[in-house]
Amino acid sequence: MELGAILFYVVASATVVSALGVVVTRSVVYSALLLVLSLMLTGLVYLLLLADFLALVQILIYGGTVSVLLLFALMLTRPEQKPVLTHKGWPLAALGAVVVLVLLIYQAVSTDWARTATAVSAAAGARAGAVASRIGPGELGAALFTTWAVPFEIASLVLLVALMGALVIARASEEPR
Amino acid sequence: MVPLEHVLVFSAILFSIGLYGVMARRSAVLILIAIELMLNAVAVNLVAFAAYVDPQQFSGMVFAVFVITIAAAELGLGLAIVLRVYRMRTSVNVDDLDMMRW
Amino acid sequence: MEYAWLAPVLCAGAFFFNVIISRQTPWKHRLSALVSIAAILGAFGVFLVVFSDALANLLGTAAAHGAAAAVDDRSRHLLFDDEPWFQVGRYAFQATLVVDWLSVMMLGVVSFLSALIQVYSIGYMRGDNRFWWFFSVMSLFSAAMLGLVLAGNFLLLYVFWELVGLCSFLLIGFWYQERDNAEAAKKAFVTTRIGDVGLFIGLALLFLQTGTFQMNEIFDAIAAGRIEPWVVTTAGILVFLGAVGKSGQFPLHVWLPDAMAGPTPVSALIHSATMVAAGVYLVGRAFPLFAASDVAMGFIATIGTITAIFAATIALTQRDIKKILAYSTISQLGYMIMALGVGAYTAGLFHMFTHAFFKALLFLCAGSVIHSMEPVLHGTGKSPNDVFWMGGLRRRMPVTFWTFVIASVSLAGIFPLSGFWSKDAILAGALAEGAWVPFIVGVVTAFLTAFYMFRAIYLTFFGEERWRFAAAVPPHAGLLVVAPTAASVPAAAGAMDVQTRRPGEDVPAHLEPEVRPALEEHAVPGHHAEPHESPWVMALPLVIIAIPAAIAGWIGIPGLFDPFAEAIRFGPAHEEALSPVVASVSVLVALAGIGLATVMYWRPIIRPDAIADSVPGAYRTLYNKYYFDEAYQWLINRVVLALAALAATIDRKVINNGIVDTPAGLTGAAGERLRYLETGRVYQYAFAFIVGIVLIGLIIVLFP
Repeated sequence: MELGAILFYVVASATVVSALGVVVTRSVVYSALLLVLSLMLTGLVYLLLLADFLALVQILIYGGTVSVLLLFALMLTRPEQKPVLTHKGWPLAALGAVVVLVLLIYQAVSTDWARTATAVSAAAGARAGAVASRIGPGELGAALFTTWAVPFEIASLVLLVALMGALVIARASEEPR
Repeated sequence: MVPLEHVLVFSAILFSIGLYGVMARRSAVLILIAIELMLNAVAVNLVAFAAYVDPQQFSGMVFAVFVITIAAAELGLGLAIVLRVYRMRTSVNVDDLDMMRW
Repeated sequence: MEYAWLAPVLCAGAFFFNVIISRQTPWKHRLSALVSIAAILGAFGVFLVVFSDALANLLGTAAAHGAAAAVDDRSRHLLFDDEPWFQVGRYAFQATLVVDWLSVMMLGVVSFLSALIQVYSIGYMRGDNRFWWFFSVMSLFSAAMLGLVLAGNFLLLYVFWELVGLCSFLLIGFWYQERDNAEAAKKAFVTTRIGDVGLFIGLALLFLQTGTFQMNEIFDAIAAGRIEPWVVTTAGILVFLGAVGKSGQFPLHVWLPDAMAGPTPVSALIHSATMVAAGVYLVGRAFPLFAASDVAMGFIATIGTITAIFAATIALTQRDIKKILAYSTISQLGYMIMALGVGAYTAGLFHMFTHAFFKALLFLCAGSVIHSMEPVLHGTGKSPNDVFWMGGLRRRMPVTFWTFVIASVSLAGIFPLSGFWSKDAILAGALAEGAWVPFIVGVVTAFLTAFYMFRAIYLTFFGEERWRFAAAVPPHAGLLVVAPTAASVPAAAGAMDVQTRRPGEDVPAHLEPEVRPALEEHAVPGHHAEPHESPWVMALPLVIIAIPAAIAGWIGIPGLFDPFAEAIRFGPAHEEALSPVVASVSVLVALAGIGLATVMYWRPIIRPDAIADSVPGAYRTLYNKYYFDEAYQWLINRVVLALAALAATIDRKVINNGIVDTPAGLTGAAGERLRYLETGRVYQYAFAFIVGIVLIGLIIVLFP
């Protein structure tokens, strides 16, 4: 077993464990911190999946921004007494999640991905069975500003609007509580 | 590299965990966190497809960029709403927020 | 001839100009009158051109082929025959215009009368605050009527047919501020609509059989026997129903007398000369359809015969001068329909031609009389139309008087005025066809016509000036059989409460002390209006129309000079010499009628009230128009309203409560129960969402 595979399994396991921690822990702060950990580990998975730039973005955004945002939000919304964080109906939720998981895994395993890959390559006009290569910031940037220029601009607009919306909504309001 | 199926199983597990979190958690902030997990699982899926199925065009990676963008926007807005709700009700418990029922 | 279409288009243009542009200008009244009259004069000019074309055509071909050449082929021109008007599926419809002698004649009659009547209206309608609207609608009517007579396609004809009906409605209800007038307009509209439904179904039936509305194609199909006989009969009767409604034939005549609520020029143009004659025109135009079915012809003849005598008897007792003329119109239209029904095609249309002039003239004279009576009877509560309050106008209104007499004599059918020739043609035609009942009815009607016309003349223009003491008789002073006299009025009224009286020299001496103070007290100050001749703008048209009213019939003198029979005929021309027997019979009965009227109403040798008293039931029946309005009212109250109530109940109980409310209630109840699914708990929604996803996933997995 090569190094990359071993690394993947280790990182993936860690990610899953920390993600489980996110949803079961009784402390909101731990939950948030575990989320950040889980997302940074996912960034490592991206690296293993040959997406360098994406890994960088993931770690920057989630490790940097999102964690700060979440911690601020938690700080600002501190409840008076220690709350119960999970519903009484959590076993039902767990059952639903497991069923979905089974369905997804079944689909993932039963699909003939090799054929799909051939079909996609054929549709793209490329030779089949091309070897995956590392996608760096240059390649992704070129793609974003040529083929995907319009969606990219729209995404930037969405971000702008979301920024303004968040400002308007979260601003200290004058009306009485 | 590991087989594609293993990456997909990994992402499915992440997604299901997020799903469980959305349904089982009571705090709005925790629900938002669980949603982040789910979005993340989707991004993993997209990156995996880009690497295994479509290495020439890597559209999946571009989509992952967009997913991350939207996730950030969503989180920002969601937290803003949560803050506002907290200021109105001193609670971020979604059980208390049932004004929009019958 | 190719420019015939200009005539209706000119008038329609005048209408649109008036309602869009003229009304916006400060001189809208003058401008709209000017534009309307200019347009109708233009239409008359178009008629003259078309007429001279047609005449040249006729003379030219007659010279080339001899007089026996088929008149139909050389005088009928179809315009816009090939160009589609619009297309529905595989059916193309053409706005065909037909120019033949029949339509040329109508073109002339309509444009001539419409022009003069509009000139007359300048005087009659003076001061009305909707003067401009009156002229606009008159233009629209002229356009529709000219279009109607030119239409060579039944669908086009139907469009104009309804359009003239609309104008009739608008003009009857012109003074809609008074409820009676609005009611009369509504009645006219609804009643004619009953006939129009028949017309429409008949036309639809013909369309189903032939796939076209083109008149000539339908007639060809009938001539070739391509339509089953029962369909021809049914369609014929249904189409004739349209004529029954429009021409006020029995039993749909009830709207025409009420239509007199409109301004008198309207009555003259629309409700005597042109629109009501459209029914007769339709029968003439679609004659090949009727002629192909003996049953339909019999039906037409029967209706016409009944109407002719029935309306004439009602006219005997009426007091409203316009109603006398209205019933006379109904009767004369029945005469024409009867003639067409027995097969005397030329005679029927000839009578329509002559009748248009003298009846329009009669109405215009009546309008002139009413116009001058109105200020006189103002404030007395008496109708200015009531002949019982006229009298002695002979010297005061000489032009009106003499033109009225000319028209009456013409209508009565006295040699040599125009009515004589057409009436004689009808009687001779009926006799030639062996139709004895119509012949006898025709003779009797001629007698009645002469009688009631001279009754109207004597009451209006001769005798005492009864308007002087109209105010002395309280309203609703019982059923007056004879016109009151100066001697009878205070005696009749003296016993009752004296309300308003005018100072009058006619009050007998013995009543003087008790009446005089009341008269002085109630006299309206400054109210000394007396009847006078109408202004020249009204009198001149009277004189001009009097000429054709007197001599228009001369173009149909049998055996001597009869281009009419040559031009307008169905089938081969058959020249008939004047029958001395028929002519003398008709003139003699007319003279007898005049004589009877003279001894009853001028020189009271026979007292009318004595006759009325001897047969009170009959008199009342006639005076109340055979109680037709009452019968219809009863029918509407008992049958129509009951059916409507039934329909309303079904609508409310079954359709509304059952079909509409039940599903609505079910939806509401279901919503009332299902709304509790909306708990407001986000995680429950999420769970439902997951269940849905799982179900879809299972479906995908299990049924790939």
